[in-house]
Amino acid sequence: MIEITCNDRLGKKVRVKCNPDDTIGDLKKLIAAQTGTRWEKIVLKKWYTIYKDHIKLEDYEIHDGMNLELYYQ
Amino acid sequence: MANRTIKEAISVKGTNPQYLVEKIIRTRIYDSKYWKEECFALTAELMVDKAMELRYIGGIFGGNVKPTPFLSLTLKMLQIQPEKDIVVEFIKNEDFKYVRALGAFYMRLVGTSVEIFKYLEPLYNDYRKIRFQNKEGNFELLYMDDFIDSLLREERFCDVILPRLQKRQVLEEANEIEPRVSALEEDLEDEDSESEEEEGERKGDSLSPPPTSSRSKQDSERERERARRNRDKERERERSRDRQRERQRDRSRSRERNRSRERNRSRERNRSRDRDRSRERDRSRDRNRSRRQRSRSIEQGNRDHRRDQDRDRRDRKDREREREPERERSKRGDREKSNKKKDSKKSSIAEVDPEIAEANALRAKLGLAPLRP
Repeated sequence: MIEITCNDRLGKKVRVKCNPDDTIGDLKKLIAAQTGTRWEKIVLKKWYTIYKDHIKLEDYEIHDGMNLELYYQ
Repeated sequence: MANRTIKEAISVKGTNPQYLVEKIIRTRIYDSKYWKEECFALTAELMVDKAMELRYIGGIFGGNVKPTPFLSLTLKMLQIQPEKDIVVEFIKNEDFKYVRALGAFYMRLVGTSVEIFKYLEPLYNDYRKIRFQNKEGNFELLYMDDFIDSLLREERFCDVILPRLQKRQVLEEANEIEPRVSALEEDLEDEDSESEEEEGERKGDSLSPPPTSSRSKQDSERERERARRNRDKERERERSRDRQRERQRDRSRSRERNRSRERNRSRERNRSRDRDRSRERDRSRDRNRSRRQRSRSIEQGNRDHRRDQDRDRRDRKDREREREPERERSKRGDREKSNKKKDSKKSSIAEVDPEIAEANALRAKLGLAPLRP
């Protein structure tokens, strides 16, 4: 289990527990459950790379305690 | 400002019609190349040409949210607000399916419920294929009646929130629209008349023993009810047993802990009243245990002496307690009890972290595997 922090820098900062073999889509659903936004509307970014829904966290080398940028679309 | 809604536009759903498209997507459309190149200074007539050029429908796609031409044209229509006749013409035309789709989508956004049912439901009989671009930018096959159905039933389509639609049933009761007649009705009627005849024959046979059958049905229902109740009761009993067992376990553990605290208190009598500090002390003692074990052998001699002293103190303490008024003691007992309760709670937390349990429950609801340690 790893814990990831997502911050949109507009007042929403969530910590999510997940498995390394979850996909980004799963992570978005977990975030959506905490924040109340639709998961389709969430964009996860790190600098200029947008994370794609079907790829696993471990393949993006997302580790425990990492910070992701939370955007909306 | 090129992106302003025209002045004489009638407000839709109480706001500027362009606001029906969400802000983020709207700005994306304003920024898109298609909007700037093709949608600039469009009028309702020129719009028809653009609509005829459409090759697919869709919302937004790709990682860096790009709008489809379909969505851009929808926004353009919201902006210039073509007359209703034009929109109806869009829907009624037979030759261009994407023009029809655009008209239907626009009608769904701005029309009243009655209009929507009136103009969109006939399209249920259109079975043509249409291309739909999904979020990843890939194309899917859709049918026109499929598309119309999702317009009438879903809350959002093509990444636009569809305004609320009154229930068809309500409108029918208010006599604003006729009950819908499906194109399948004729076929069904034919089949119905056939099957009715058959059923009539069968009914004639089965009419003779109705009372027994109904009674047996009732009986079986009662039986099922009873079985269900029994099952429930059993489950309840099991649960309570579990709870009891847990409580017992907790009690034994807390007793142990209590004893240790007692010893602790007796060691330093002055602080014994200050419960918090003593507990803290307890915890720190746990942490230091390993270090202490190492140094125990050295302290052994010293300790023996101290223990004697301790016993002395304890005796004195007991005597004090006896002298203490009954009221005081009962109060302390209460306090001890509450402490015990807190302890039991703490031990259950140690068993399963409630945060993780909660996360797992959420994951189960989303259809994900539970968290691995």
